[in-house]
Amino acid sequence: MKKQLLVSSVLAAALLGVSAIALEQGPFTTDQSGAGRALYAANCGACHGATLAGAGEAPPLAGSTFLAAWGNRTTEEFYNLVKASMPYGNGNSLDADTYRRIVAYVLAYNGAQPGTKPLTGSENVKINTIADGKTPPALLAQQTTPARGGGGGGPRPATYYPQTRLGMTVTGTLPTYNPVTDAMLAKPADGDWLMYRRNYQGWSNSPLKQVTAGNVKNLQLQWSWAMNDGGAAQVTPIVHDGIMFLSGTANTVQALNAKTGELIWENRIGPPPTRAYGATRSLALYGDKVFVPTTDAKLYALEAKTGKIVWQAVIENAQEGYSNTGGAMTIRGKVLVGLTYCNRYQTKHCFISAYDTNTGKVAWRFKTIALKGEPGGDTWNNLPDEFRQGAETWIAGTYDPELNTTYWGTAQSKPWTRASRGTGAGATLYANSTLALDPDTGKLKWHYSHAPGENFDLDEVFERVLVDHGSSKDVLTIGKVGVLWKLNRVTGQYEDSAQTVFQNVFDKIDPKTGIPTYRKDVLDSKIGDWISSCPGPAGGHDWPATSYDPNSDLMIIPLHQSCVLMRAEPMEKKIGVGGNAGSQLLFEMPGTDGNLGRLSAYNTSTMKAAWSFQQKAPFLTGVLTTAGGVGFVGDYDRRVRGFETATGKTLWQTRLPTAAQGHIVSYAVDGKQYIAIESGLGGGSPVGKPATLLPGIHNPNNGNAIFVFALPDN
Amino acid sequence: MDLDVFAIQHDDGLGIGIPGPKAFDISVTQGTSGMIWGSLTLTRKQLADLRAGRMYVQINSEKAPDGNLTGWLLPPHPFPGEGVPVAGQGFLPQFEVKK
Repeated sequence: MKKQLLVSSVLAAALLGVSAIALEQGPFTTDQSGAGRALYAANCGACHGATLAGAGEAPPLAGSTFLAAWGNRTTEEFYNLVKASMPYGNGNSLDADTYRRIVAYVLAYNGAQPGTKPLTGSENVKINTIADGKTPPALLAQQTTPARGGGGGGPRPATYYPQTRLGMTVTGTLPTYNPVTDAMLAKPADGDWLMYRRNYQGWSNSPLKQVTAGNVKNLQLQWSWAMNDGGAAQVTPIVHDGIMFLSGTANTVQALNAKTGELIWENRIGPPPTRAYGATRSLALYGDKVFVPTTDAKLYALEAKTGKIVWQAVIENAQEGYSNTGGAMTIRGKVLVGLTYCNRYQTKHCFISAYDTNTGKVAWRFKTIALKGEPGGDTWNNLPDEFRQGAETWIAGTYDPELNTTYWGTAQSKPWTRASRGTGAGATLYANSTLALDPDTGKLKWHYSHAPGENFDLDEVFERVLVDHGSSKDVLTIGKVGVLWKLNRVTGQYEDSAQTVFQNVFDKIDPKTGIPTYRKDVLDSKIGDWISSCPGPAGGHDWPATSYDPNSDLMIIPLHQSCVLMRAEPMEKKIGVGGNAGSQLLFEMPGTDGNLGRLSAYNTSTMKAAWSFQQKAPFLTGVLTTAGGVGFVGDYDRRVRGFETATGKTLWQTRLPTAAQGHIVSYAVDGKQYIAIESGLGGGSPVGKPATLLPGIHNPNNGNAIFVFALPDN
Repeated sequence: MDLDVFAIQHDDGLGIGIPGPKAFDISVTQGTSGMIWGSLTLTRKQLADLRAGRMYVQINSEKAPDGNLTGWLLPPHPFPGEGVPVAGQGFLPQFEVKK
C-alpha cells in the first residue's frame, strides 16, 4: 500500500510538470521509528528541538538544511556519527538499539518510509535516496515536546532534573543586606565578589592575601553544596556581605551563608533545564536587588533579602530560539544584558539591552547587526536584512567609570562560513568585534572588528579586560583563534597582538591596523570543501575566562588546543531556517602531543609570554589570581590547581566529583579568606571536543556543586 | 594497511595542519600492531619543507582509504611533563604569519 502511494505521488508530480525522484523505502521498520520518537525526545530533543530544527550549536536534523548536509552521505555514516558523538559530550553512552531507533526516527521525520528490515547501522544507503526532508503530517501532529526554554509538558531530557515545583521553594530573609551602590561596584570591598569578573575592569583578581604561595598547600574543604543537575552550569558565585548568591539550572537562584553554606532562600524561577543550556554564567547586584537573566531570554529582579520577584522583563521571545547565558552587569541604575542564539533567518536581530534597575523598563537596545543603509551595513555583501544574523553577546561586558564606556564582545556572524552565509569578503559588522557603548544611551562610541568575515566558528565574544599602562588606557581580549589583542580603549585603535597557541587561519596580521588576512584557500573555499582550522571551535580561548594580576602585570589565559576540518554546508535563504551550517572533523593540534590544555601567562605591557604549561585535559574554569601571589584554575579531568602566579608552578591540587567548571572566586567573611570552586556539566565545545579526543578521561554526567576551601583556623 | 606520506606545497601558501596533495607513497613493513617503518629520499626542497613542518604522515586502511591516522612531522620539542611550566610560551609551531 505504501509503495502504491509513493508511486502515485510520483505520477501526480509528473503530471503537474514537476520533476520528482521516487524515494526508496528506508532501511528501518515502523517499530523502530515509532519507538525512536520518545528516545529522541529524551536524549536529543533538548538541544535539537522538538521539530528537529536545531538551536545554537545543535544543527538541524530535518528539512532542507539537513538534507543538504547529509543527503549525499549514507545512513551508516549518520548512524556512526550519532553513536560516536551523541548525546553531546557523552558519545556512545546509549545502547545500540536506542541509537538505531533514534536514527530511524530522524530518517522518518525527513520523509523516509519504513521498510521491512530493521536498521542495523551498517546499511550503505544514501540518505537522499530515501528522504526528501519533508516531514509527514502524522509526525508533525505528534509534537508535544517543549521547545528549549519554552517550558510545558512532554518528555524530559535524559539528563536527570528532579521533578520539583518552581517558584519560591525555600523562604527566608537575610539578617542584613547593605544595598549595592555605584561606589561599591567601582571599588568593591576586598571581601566581596560583586560581579562576573569581580571588578568593572574584568580582572578576576582578589586583593585578599591570606592564602599565599607559602601556605596554599594547607587549603582544606570548609563546606560544599550540591547545585541542581540536569543542565550546564558555569556559575560565578556572587558574594556580598557574607552572602553567596548562586545561579543554577532551571534558573534557580539561591542565597547561602558564605561562611557556613547554610541555605537562606531559594527561588526556582524556571523553566526546567536542558542538557546544553542550563544556567546563566553570572547574576548581577544593584541596590537591594539581584538580577537574573534567564535561559528563556527574560530578566528578573529579585529582592536580595528574600529572593522574591520584584519585576520581570522579556528580553526576547524564547519560542523563537533566543536565550541568555552570558550573565548581566549593572551600571548607574541600569542592568545590561546580552542575547544569544540569534542564528535563524528572521526579521529580528541580536542586541544588547539595558533596563531600569527599579522598574525593569527598557532604557535602550543596541542592535549588533548593521542593516542596509546603516553605518557598517555595506559589509554584508548586500544581503537582505533578514539573512544577516549572529553577533550574539554571550559574555557580560566590562566598564570604565571614568570614560563612562562599557565594552562588549560579539560572536561571529551566522551561518559560520562565508560560503554558507553568502557574505563574500564582507566584514559582517558588528560580528566578532569589540563594541564600546555609552551605558546611559546605548550609543556606539567605536567598534573594532577582530576577524572581518570570520569563517570557522571562531568567536571573539569573550571578556574585555581593562588595563592601564602609564597614560595608555587599554582593553585586552582574546578569542577562539588564540590571538591576544590589545586596543586603546579610548579610541579603539589597534596597539598590539600576540599569538598564544598554534594558529593557521590567518597568514597575515597588519602591524599597524591589526587587521588579519585569511589563508587563500579559506578565501577561495566553497560549499562542500573541507578546510582546516587551527584552532577549531573550542578555541584557542573560549568562555573559561582570563585573570589579570595587577601586581605582576600578567594575564593568565586558559587555552585549548585542537583543530578541525570544517565543511561549509548550504543554508536555504528562507525565514525560519537557521543554524550554523558547518560540519566538523576534529583532529589533534600539531605540535601539542595531545595536550589539549595550555595555561599561559602574558605580560600585558610587552605582550610576551612569561610562562606556559600544557596538560592533556583542557581547562574549564576561569582563572582566579589573588594578591597572595597564588592563582587557581580547574580542568576537564576534575583537577583544580593552585599555582604560583609569577612562575606557573603548581603548589596545591585537588580533584572534584566531575569536571571543574565555571568561575573560581575568592571572598572573605569575618576576616577569613575563602576560595569557591564549582564542578559542573555542559560547557559547549570545550567539553564536547575533549570527549572525543580524550576518551581515556572520564567524568560523571552529574555533579553540579560548589566547593569552598580555606586555610585551617589554627 | 598502506602508509602514505603527504607533503604540503610551500608555493600554495599552505602549511602546518592543512592537508595537501600526496607527495610520496612509502612501502612499509606490514603489520597490525607494533612498529611499522619505511624510507624514502627527499629532494633539497622537500627537506626544507620537512624542516618547516609542512609534511605529515597519513596512515590509510581498507576501511578508511582517506586516512585513519595523521601525524605532523615537526622539529623535536622536549615536553617537560603535564603541568610543568616553562619560561616563555614553550614550543609553539609557527604558521607563516606576516606581521
